Amino acid sequence: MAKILVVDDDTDILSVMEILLSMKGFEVQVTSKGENALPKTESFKPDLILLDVLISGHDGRVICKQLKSNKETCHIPVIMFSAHPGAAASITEYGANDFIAKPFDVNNLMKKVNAQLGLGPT
Amino acid sequence: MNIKLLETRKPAIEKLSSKFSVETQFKLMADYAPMPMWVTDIYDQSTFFNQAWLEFTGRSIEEEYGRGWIKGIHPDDLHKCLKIYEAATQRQKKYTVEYRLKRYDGQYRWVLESGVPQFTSDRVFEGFFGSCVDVHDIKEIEHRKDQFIIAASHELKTPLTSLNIYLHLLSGKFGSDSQEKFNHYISGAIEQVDKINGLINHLLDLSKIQSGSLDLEWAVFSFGALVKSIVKKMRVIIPSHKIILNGKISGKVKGDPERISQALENLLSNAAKYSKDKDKIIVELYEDNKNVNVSVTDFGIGIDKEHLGKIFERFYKIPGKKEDTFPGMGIGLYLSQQIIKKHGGKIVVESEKNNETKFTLKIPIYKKLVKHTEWPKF
Repeated sequence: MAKILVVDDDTDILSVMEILLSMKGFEVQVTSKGENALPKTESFKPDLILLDVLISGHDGRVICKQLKSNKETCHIPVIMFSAHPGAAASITEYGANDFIAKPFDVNNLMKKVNAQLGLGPT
Repeated sequence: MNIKLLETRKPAIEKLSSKFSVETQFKLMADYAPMPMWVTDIYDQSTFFNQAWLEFTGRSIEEEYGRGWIKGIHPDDLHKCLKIYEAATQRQKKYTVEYRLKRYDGQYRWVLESGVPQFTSDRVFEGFFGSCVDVHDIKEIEHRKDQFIIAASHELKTPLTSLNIYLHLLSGKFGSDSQEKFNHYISGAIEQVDKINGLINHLLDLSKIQSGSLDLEWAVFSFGALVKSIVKKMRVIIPSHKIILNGKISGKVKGDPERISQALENLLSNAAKYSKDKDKIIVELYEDNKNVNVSVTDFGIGIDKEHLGKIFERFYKIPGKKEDTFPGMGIGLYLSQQIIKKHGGKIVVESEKNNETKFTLKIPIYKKLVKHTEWPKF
């Protein structure tokens, strides 16, 4: 069972993402605090991270860069998401593997998740 | 009417013409004009600056003469300006350009400059005559408005994301679920619709305040009891923080309890939002001779002194790398302050960066007018 970590400061998004991804058969952990992203990654060892861009006090792009520059975590694919127009343009330089704009289409999200995990379409 | 006016002024004009040359008259007028003005020759060298220009830049006329004025233009705008000046000189046509000009206090201010070509009576080009208007404040509010539209769309999209997922879950694409789960998804979806509705109401309140049509439903009620009930409600909405309520008061106020609640709830949710890694908010109730007061203190990121005066302004969001990561439209404090002002009160703030922040909401105590229906007995 593939493991996914979701980082977003909006707790409503976290709860519904937890339901959705669990239902799709993933093992899910979530956090609403930017400072928990790195320790959670180390302890949970996810196969994929879904990371918001603006996380109340933390810049998700900086977290992504930290993950990608750490040899323990650099191999983990990161999909960033944001409702902020123009956020997509700046994420590749921080090492993110993909981006999805909020509000996203669930099927589109699942396609991106499966692509990063090397899983076929469901 | 105009002819009459000209006739009455004719003697004065004639008197002036006989006393001063045209050039002196121009300089006199230019020096009395409130906006910065200048004159250049055919080589784009300045030959005149009025008093308003010199006061604005804080430089002497000797420093500005020739090409000296270039030093006042913001380095990032200089190239654009020089290109426009060159093209205008070649074409001998009027132009407008916006650029940042250094003021006497070192601050670069956006100005809108218009230049008009000057010709002799036999149509020989003599250079330009120009004037500037300080449009800095207008540009700043325009920028804030743009940022506000981005922030508002961001805020509206966030609950839409959750709503969209709940609706997908409900559509049954992900297998058959129990009734209990079904109900959970429906209440999740409704909650997100409520949030979107709340955001739209905020936007509507903003336009009502702007147009002066925000009506209050007046009532006389106990302020302490209202605060107590708001704190009770917010303890459920903000489970991340312990909201401690201190003090007790008996004073009554006259106002719209719904609107006062809106303002106080805004202060409480801000306190939680900007102190994510802390778990305590202190609410204090007290009375003085004039007002009932309720203060909300958090121990979060604090507010820099330079922003304290601006946070109650429309669309103002404190800029900064860390500050930019917090959600919000930049209208909550503006709306709260306007609501409380409509009650004859105000909201004040005390804070320092990385230190505690205290917002105090003050509303005048309601004093019932006593009607003397009978004379006192002696």
